[in-house]
This record gives sequence, structure tokens and C-alpha cells, in this order.
Amino acid sequence: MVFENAGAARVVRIGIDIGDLTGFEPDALAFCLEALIDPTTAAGATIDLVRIPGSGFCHTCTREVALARRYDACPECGGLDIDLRGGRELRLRELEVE
Amino acid sequence: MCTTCGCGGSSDDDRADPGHDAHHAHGEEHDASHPHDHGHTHDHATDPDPESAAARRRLIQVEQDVLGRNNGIAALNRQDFSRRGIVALNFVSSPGSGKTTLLCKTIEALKADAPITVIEGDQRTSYDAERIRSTGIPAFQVNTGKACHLDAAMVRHAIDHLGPTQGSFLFIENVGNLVCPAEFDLGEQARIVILSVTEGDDKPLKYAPIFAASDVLILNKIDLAPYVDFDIPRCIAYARELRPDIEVFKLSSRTGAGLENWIAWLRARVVRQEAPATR
Ligand SMILES: Nc1nc2c(ncn2[C@@H]2O[C@H](COP(=O)(O)OP(=O)(O)O)[C@@H](O)[C@H]2O)c(=O)[nH]1
Ligand SMILES: [Mg+2]
Ligand SMILES: [Zn+2]
Ligand SMILES: [Zn+2]
Repeated sequence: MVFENAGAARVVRIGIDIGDLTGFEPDALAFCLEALIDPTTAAGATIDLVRIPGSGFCHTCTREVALARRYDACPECGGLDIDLRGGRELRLRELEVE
Repeated sequence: MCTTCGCGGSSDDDRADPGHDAHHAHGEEHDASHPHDHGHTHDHATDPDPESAAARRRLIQVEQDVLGRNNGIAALNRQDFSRRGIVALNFVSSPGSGKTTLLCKTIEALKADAPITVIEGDQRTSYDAERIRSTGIPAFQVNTGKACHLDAAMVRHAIDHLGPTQGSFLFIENVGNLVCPAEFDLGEQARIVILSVTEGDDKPLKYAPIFAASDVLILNKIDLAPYVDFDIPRCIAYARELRPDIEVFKLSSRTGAGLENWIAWLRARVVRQEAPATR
């Protein structure tokens, strides 16, 4: 619907953010999407997947730290008092149209 | 089609191992071809009329969070459950690990204490809902068709039908699958992952996301433990690497061995829920 409102004829790029801490597999997602958009005005569009690395705010270190997995301890202090910040998203970020 | 695992899609892509094993172990082994960093430039070499097409080209910001939509409905479910003091539990496992058998046994032990309703998720058939109803408890069968997990909207629809009452248990049996249900919050208070001893003690490591996202691990079919090489302490250690505070119950849904600890855990949850309301 966003697309129709913009009066565009064709989608050339689909921008998606995909978090490393979700179970969504970038390759599998791109593969499915390519098949899904084939019969649409987005056929052949570039699937532009941007991975969002896992991160959280460690209350002990009082700063943001990188997280490889969801319930990992803080890589700096080994603590578990962490609020998840990034890596859980699956977001249709933008469409490039013409 | 499921975009979590890509199941339902064709299998002739070039991944070395297209099975579920290849998925979900994030952080280390991604260096895939599609994803890349911001700032990368694309060449759209196939434009029929490159100049005017490029001139017309523009960007539409969408910012639609796909998982966020599920999470929004899950939050509504969770609000409803807590307002009505409903203990909603999401049971996940691979097919055949004993979810329905455990639910039937649990219902027999618990139905005198509190009202219970059950949501059964399967791709097809209503066999499991019928098994639950034979215990005298209302059950609603959700057939997910090709989908390999329940989502929050399906649960919302099912609770409209079931109308779980104040202070009751709502057991949700998810579709048998150790992969995709990990991603879909249903609004439950606790997620229970069931692993039977015939499935191998390494499954927490192989299917890490679902164990990391579960509050309780039930090791089922311990009556069969003498016949298989399932190292129970090792399995628990693997699960605790992923989820240090995971609660573990070892039981047999067939013989009833070990069931009492699990039932006690459930009873404690109603009591804890009801406590503030009685003041
Ligand atoms: N020996 C043994 N068999 C069990 C146990 N729990 C379930 N089963 C059997 O495992 C099979 C699958 O059980 P079911 O409850 O349908 O699994 P679900 O697919 O997870 O719902 C059935 O044949 C059950 O009788 C158990 O604790 N011990
Ligand atoms: Mg079942
Ligand atoms: Zn820290
Ligand atoms: Zn799936």
C-alpha cells in the first residue's frame, strides 16, 4: 500500500533489517522472498538484507556490549544483568522504486 | 511458507545443508552472500531505460517491523492473561516427544484444582484436541496448514472460542518443531520445551534458540532411558549453557514417574497468581 501511494511502477530494491539474534536465516529469507516477488511488480528487485548484530546494555558495565547469543553473559564482566538492545528485529526498512 | 526456515520453498538452492540443522546458530558462521553492511552500492544492470528510470528512482521509508506485529498481539494476549489471572503455558518440542501425552496426564492430576483449557496446534487433523477432550477438558484445535508454528494471532482467535476463565490454566501445544516456534511469542507466561530421551542429549546445542528461549525443560520418556545412550546430566548442562536459570523436570508421561514435581510447579503458579487478587 505504501508502494501504491507513491505512484511508482516498479520496485527495484527491498531493504530489510534482520537481527542476528532472531532465528531468521538471511539466505533462506532472501531465497523465499525472491520466489514470492517473482509474479509481482517487484520481480527481480535486489533483496538488500542488512544484518543487525546482537547487542545489549550491561547494567554492571553501564554500557552497550556485543552479544553473540540471546542469553549470553556480558563479554566484559561475565554478568547477566543485560537488557537486549539490538539483534531481535525483522524489519522492512525501505523500498527503492521507480 | 515459513521465512524462518524457508520450509515450503524449493530445495534446489546451494546451501550445503538445507536442513534445519544449518539454521539458527547465529553469531559465528554467518558470512553469507546476501547480507552486507550499510553503505554498499548496488548495480542495477537490467534497467531497460537506465537514464530516465534512474531519474525516477526514489526511496520509500517503510520501517515495518514484521516480528513486531506478532509481538504486539502477543503483548495484548499477555495483558489479557494477567488481568484474568490465567496461567498460559506454551509447550514446544519436536513431533512425538510426548506433548499431548504429558498434557493428558497433567490434566488428570490438576483438573480438580483449577479450570483448564487447551489450544492444540497441528498442521492438520484434530486428533490431539480429541485426545484432550476425552479427559473432559475443552480444547480448541488450530490447524496451521503449511505454517510450522503457532503465532500470537492464532492464539488470540483460539481464546475467543475457548473463553478461559479467571484463575485457569491455558495449555498451548505448539506445532511439533524445534525451530520456528522459538521466534513467535504467544503472550505466554512461560515456555516449556519437552525433549524425550530418544531424541539425543545434544539437541539443546543443535537447536539452541528454542532452548535459550524456554523457561522450563522437561526430559520426557525417562522410562526409556535404560535403552538409549542419553546422558541426562550432559543434556541439562548444555541447556544451562544457553539458559542458566532453566527449570528442569525429568519424568515419564507413560508411567507417571517424576510427574509430581512438575505438577507441584504448576500448582505454585496458580497460587502465586491468585495471591495478589485475594487481598
Ligand atoms: N515410553 C514412553 N512413551 C511415551 C512417553 N510420552 C509419550 N510417549 C509416546 O510417544 C508417542 C508420541 O506422543 P505424543 O503425546 O503424541 O507426542 P506429541 O507429538 O509431542 O504430542 C506416543 O506413542 C506416546 O504414547 C513416555 O514418557 N514414555
Ligand atoms: Mg501432539
Ligand atoms: Zn558487563
Ligand atoms: Zn519453519
